[in-house]
Amino acid sequence: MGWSFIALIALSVGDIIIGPVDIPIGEIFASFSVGSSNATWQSIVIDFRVPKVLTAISVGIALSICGLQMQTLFRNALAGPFVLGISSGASLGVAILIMGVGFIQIPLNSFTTVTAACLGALLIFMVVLLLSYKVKDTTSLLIVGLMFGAAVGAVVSILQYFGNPDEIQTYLVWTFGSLTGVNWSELSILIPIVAIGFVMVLVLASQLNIVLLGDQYALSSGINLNLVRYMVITITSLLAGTITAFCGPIAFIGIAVPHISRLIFNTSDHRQLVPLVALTGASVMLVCDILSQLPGMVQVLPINAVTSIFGAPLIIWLIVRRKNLQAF
Amino acid sequence: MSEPKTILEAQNLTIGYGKKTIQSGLDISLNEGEVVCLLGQNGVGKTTLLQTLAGLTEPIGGSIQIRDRQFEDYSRLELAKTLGIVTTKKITAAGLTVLEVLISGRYPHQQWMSSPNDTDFESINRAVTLTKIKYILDSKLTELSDGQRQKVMIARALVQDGHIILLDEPTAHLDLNNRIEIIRLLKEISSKGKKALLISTHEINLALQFADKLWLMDFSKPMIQGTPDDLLNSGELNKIFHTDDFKYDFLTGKITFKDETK
Repeated sequence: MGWSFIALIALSVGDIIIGPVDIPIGEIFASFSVGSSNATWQSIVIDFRVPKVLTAISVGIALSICGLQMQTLFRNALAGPFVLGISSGASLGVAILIMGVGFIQIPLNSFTTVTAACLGALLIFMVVLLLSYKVKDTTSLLIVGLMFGAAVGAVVSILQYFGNPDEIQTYLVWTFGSLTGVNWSELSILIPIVAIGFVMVLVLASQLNIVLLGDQYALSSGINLNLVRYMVITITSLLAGTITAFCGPIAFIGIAVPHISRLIFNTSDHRQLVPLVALTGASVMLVCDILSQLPGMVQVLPINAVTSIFGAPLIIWLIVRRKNLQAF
Repeated sequence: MSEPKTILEAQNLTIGYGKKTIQSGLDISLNEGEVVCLLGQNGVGKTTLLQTLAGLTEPIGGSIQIRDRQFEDYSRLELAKTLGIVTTKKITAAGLTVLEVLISGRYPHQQWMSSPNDTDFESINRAVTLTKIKYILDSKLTELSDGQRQKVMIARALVQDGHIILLDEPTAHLDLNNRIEIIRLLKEISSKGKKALLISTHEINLALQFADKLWLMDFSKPMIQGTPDDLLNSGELNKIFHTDDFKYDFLTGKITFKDETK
């Protein structure tokens, strides 16, 4: 755990140093003191790069522990907020808010976006969880998740059809995913929510170990299984919803990071896995952000493109290598 | 000789799923240090009975007392400290190590969010010694053979430190050596730990030899209880494991088909 913490610090510093505008390293450290020589550089570092690093860390932690909890709750290695349509649900909430504000008189700001995204995520999670009692096998559940994604996509298309160009553009840019749109005042909402979610999962850790053994063992060990389920639903909807609201739907972090952590640290014990997954998630997100900044170019790749380009092959590799994903 | 202490008692118990009744009017009791084998054909309600006694399925009617206290008065945590279960369900999703699984068995005794203490490890040590699984303590559950995994799950029920252990077909899918080893282990657990063991099984011969009592379940007939000898002599065993097509001789283990005898 010590090494992953050091890696996280190193990546954070690296992500602050690297950017479209070349700033000497000395100047970057000087930016943190009051009397910086270059006001533009200081503004780039303090108002742009540091919030972006904090956002990346928050996104990484939040989505990864969402994925971990969902994989345990469904006892399904392919579960994750994106795959099971939770992120789509959040997108639906935001789409209705952005393109429906004309009809429903709600102001469009970070609070309403977060609320809409969380409600959308909660809605889809409840439906998926209900269906998971009916369909027990992995494949069916994933297809259900995909169908939700498709259905939500269709609803969003209809909204776009009737929406005005400005709203559509706002929505489309949002779907690319971005770590850069989050300012300090929004971080003051984001960070506490992620911190609360993280602590709640940490509290659940030993229960989650028993949930891994199956419902019957969980119940006969004295676990309040319904309470655990409701807590996982609440935490996941809150975290995935909030992250999606601020940064757009970011794919593959939730599903891939728990697997990467289990591979690296060779444990399934949630008491260790929860902090390890959080650390790994934050680091992976920083790596993706560094990769999104192509050297020598002013443009930055959409973060969703980066996570998908690396995440999708990783999942395919995992499936091929493990033959089955039942034992995780 | 003093009367053995009754740990679990049920009167006029009706079991089933939802509204569907599978067995009714069950009057049963489990005593300290006693191994009871539950025999009957598939679908007769053996698993349902175990699940009902473990609080995993609601009884349809009747009453259950555990240690002179009404079943309904137990919280899940209190029940977990009194009763452990080993189910037939194969654990699919578990990269947990054997030790981690055993620690999870101590959950009902642990303080909220605290790490396992000396008492927990003492209990785990006792169970590990009894089940002889020290050599696989750091192995992952997925790496174990069926026999090893079954011992781990029995050890897990042991560390709950309850008075009752319910086991659903603990010897299914095991080879003969493992079957005998598991049955001997269960017998040792009940006599040394003064625990009541209720085991559903299809191993009639092993049950005859090791059980203190047999409970015979049959479709739409009252449950028959007695010692193996009594039930064998009275011919009750034959009635249950006997169809129009074949006959099973419990003493020789020979199966005779009706059309062969013609």
